[in-house]
Amino acid sequence: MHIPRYWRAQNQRYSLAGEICKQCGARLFPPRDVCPECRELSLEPFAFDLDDEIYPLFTQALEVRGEGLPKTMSLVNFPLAE
Amino acid sequence: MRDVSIIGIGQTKVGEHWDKSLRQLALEAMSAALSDAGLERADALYVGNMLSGEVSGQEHVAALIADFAGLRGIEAVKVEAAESSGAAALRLGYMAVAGGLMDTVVVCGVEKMTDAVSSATASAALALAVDSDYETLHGLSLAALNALLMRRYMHEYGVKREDFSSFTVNAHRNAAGNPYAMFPRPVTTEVFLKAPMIADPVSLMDSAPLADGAAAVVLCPGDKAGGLTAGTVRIAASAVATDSLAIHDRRDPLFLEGAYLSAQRAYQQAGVGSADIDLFEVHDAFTIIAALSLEACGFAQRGQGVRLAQEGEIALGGRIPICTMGGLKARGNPVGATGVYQIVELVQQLRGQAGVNQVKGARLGMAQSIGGTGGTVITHILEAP
Repeated sequence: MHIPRYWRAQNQRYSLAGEICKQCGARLFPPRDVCPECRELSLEPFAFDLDDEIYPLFTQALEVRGEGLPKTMSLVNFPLAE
Repeated sequence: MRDVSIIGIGQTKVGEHWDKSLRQLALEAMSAALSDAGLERADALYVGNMLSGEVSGQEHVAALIADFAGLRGIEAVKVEAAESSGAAALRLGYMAVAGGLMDTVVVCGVEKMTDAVSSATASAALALAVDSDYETLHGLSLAALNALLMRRYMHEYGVKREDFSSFTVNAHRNAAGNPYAMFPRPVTTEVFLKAPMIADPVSLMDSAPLADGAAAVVLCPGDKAGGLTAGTVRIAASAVATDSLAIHDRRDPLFLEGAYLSAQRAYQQAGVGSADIDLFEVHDAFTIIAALSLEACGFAQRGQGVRLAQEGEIALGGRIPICTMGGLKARGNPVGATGVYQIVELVQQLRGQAGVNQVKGARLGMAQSIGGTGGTVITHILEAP
């Protein structure tokens, strides 16, 4: 993959940088330019942390892009409201 | 069938947007178009894009963009027709509104070329527009196929390579007045003559630069347009025609039959002829294609397209101004978005908002978008309010 694509997403990938909507308070990860809840354009940076719930945990058995197997991945359930 | 009007336009500057993704470019253009139309939402989104899968590893981009733009839930579909993808998306939007299925539609053309790993990757991706089994297999790029056409044209009509410079000089002169253009500066014939060859006789200055960009328009039924915004422009005609992808399959490679059919259908729908058109946004991906398109659409006799340019008839004050905001050559060519850029620029002209590039008294504008070397040709005619 081309380097600019990593560069554009480095804050969310390496420091879990998300956003919080100034209008409705929705917490957004990854960051967006428009709040999907209320379409507000005014979003502020918000740092998530890793003390959150692991949602599903699974191990991938079928290789898609040469990433090496077995590979264990999960989703993390960030609290999206105060 | 209902009349269809364009009630909003938006565009990003064309160029190398390393800091913006495909979805961000699309959002910028769509937000501007919706704001121009005085709307917050639309019933449907049609996205014109050619290479998101090949260049960005991302298909399914219409839903992606709808969600990113805060329009989650609406109908959203991507349309692909090579370089004419943007015009094809407009065609779909036009059919949806004309047919009474939708009342407000956003059409967005978007392309993100700088996510290609190299310029060779980008060229290979673009070559997907031509016949894979019989052209690409032999290593023929889009530039190479245009070189074959240009060489034959020079032989057939006694035209020199430098004669094609009139197209390039005109496009760059007009781009200087367009803040959204990739290369907003004039070039001279000397610059044209010194340009490096891509595929002899096609040089860098015959060929439009691949770039990032997004453009969008908002459509609604004509009878509802007046109350929404002041600057409505009517779509007087929308027509698509096809030809063989491979140039060796054509009856006459120097006659773009798809362009001819597409233009004739558009003239018939609008009830006009080529003499009634005040300006023409031509698909000048290569100078030879601009010449062949002018001829197929009836603006010049066979073999006279280059002469028309040399005589200054394509300039802003000429008989048929083309590339009035820089064309593909100097505004830049964000492949699948190009067809929508042409429409945005026509609307600017027909609203009288083209600034120093204004074509005086413009009432009817035509845009023609071409996929590959002419396999798909889409023509729209717009009418001033």
